[in-house]
Amino acid sequence: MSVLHRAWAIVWKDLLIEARTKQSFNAMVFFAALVLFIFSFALGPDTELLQRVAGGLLWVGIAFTGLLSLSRTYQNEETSGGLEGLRAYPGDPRAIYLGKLLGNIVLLLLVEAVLIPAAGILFQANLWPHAWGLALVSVLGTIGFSLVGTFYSALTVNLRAREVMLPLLLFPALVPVLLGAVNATTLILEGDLMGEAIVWLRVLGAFDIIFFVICIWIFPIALEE
Amino acid sequence: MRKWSVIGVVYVVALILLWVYTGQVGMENRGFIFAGYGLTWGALLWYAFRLESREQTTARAVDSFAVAGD
Amino acid sequence: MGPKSVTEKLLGILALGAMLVGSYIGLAVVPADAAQGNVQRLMYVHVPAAWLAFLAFFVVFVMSVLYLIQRDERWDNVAAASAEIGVVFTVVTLLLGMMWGKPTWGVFWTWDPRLTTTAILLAIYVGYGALRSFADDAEKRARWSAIVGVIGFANVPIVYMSVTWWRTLHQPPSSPRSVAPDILWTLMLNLAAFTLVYAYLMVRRIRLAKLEGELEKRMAYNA
Repeated sequence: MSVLHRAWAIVWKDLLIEARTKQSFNAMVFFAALVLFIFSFALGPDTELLQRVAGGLLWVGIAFTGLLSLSRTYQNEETSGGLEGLRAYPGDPRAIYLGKLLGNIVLLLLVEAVLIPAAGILFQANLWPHAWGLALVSVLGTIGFSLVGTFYSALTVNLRAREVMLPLLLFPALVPVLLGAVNATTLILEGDLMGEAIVWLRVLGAFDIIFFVICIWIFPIALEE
Repeated sequence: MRKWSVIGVVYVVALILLWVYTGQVGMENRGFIFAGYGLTWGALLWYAFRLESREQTTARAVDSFAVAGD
Repeated sequence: MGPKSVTEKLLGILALGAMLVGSYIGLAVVPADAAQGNVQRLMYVHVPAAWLAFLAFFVVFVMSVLYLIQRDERWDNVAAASAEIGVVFTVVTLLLGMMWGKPTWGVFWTWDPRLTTTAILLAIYVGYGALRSFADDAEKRARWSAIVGVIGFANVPIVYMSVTWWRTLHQPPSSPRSVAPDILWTLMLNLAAFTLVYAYLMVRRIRLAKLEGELEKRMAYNA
């Protein structure tokens, strides 16, 4: 079985489990909505302010929601004893990373599909004219987030205090993603797709490529006995 | 370890001298300059001190195991 | 306590002496900057601290790569030492930056590229340190922190470029041509002093790392 085959098998299995139980999806959507609500209350009813910060708040919401699901990335294998469960998979460990990565990306994108329109409503930002731009930022940002998140999630799975270690390690590493996504989103919402948003999309793209290579390459070392 | 008490005293004296000096020369923003240099020296000295105490503690612990194990 | 070599003591004295001379000249000998006034004197400690912080983390990166290739615990010892010392220099850098920033810009903090990147660097290596303290097995600790050391440093140029696109308030890097010779010499002197301090602290911290490794082994043996 090739690496892609195995990866696909893992994605399929995890998504099936998720589709049946909807544990993560529901929790994530609820949590994300909560975050957006709290931001709205905190900032008050000033429409103009909300519209200006909509991009930033959206990605803060996505980041925290994503973090929630990341810690459960390897949960299905954990019952068999943490990384031991993962190492039990035959073949190239990179397939595991790819599989979990794809699973996380799909799940987070599905949540964003609900979250972004919700943000549009709460922050009174008109999203439809910018749908394609927003979708692109969303995909690139989610990939970046999931790349590093899935990796560090494996690293911290057997660590003490991992609920603290995962965000501690993750967020400094995610700065380019967050900067890129927030700025691109804000610029797109302001209608400036031509000028500067492209620069940020390039930052996201570069980050995605660089870290895909690095993470895939180093993952087997992270998983070693 | 006594030497660190001496170093501590010297450090405080140096701080006092620095404060007096910046006043006499009429340096503007002397508070920030004083704080900056004071913090730098303080941080480095404190870290060196901590290194030495950790070293002593660890060395003693290593020796205590040697008696039993070797 | 292991024997401390004469070289080590000499290094320590040299480092201390250089620092004393450097600070003295920076504070009392060199004239104040024409444009910035006396606050500019903080640059004589801020710039070297920043330089050494980045050097320290670069060393962590190199040692991490070496460890992942050769799996020799000596590389891990050097990496751990450099990361810890790097954090000290980074905190000093940030504090000094604030001491300089308030009288100059009116604020303690701005989101300019270098300041922000330095803060993120601090977060990365505090994470590195936390990771090490939570990993009990020596081999896993070395391997995982090496991975974080590699990824963390690989991120630095990307972070820097991103933040540069985002804001630009920090002074443009001063090239030697645009700086008065007095100032340049004082800066170089302090840079040398700080480098000696780094070297001395490294020697001691690496020895501590070896001792801790030895302690771990003996405790495991006697368990």
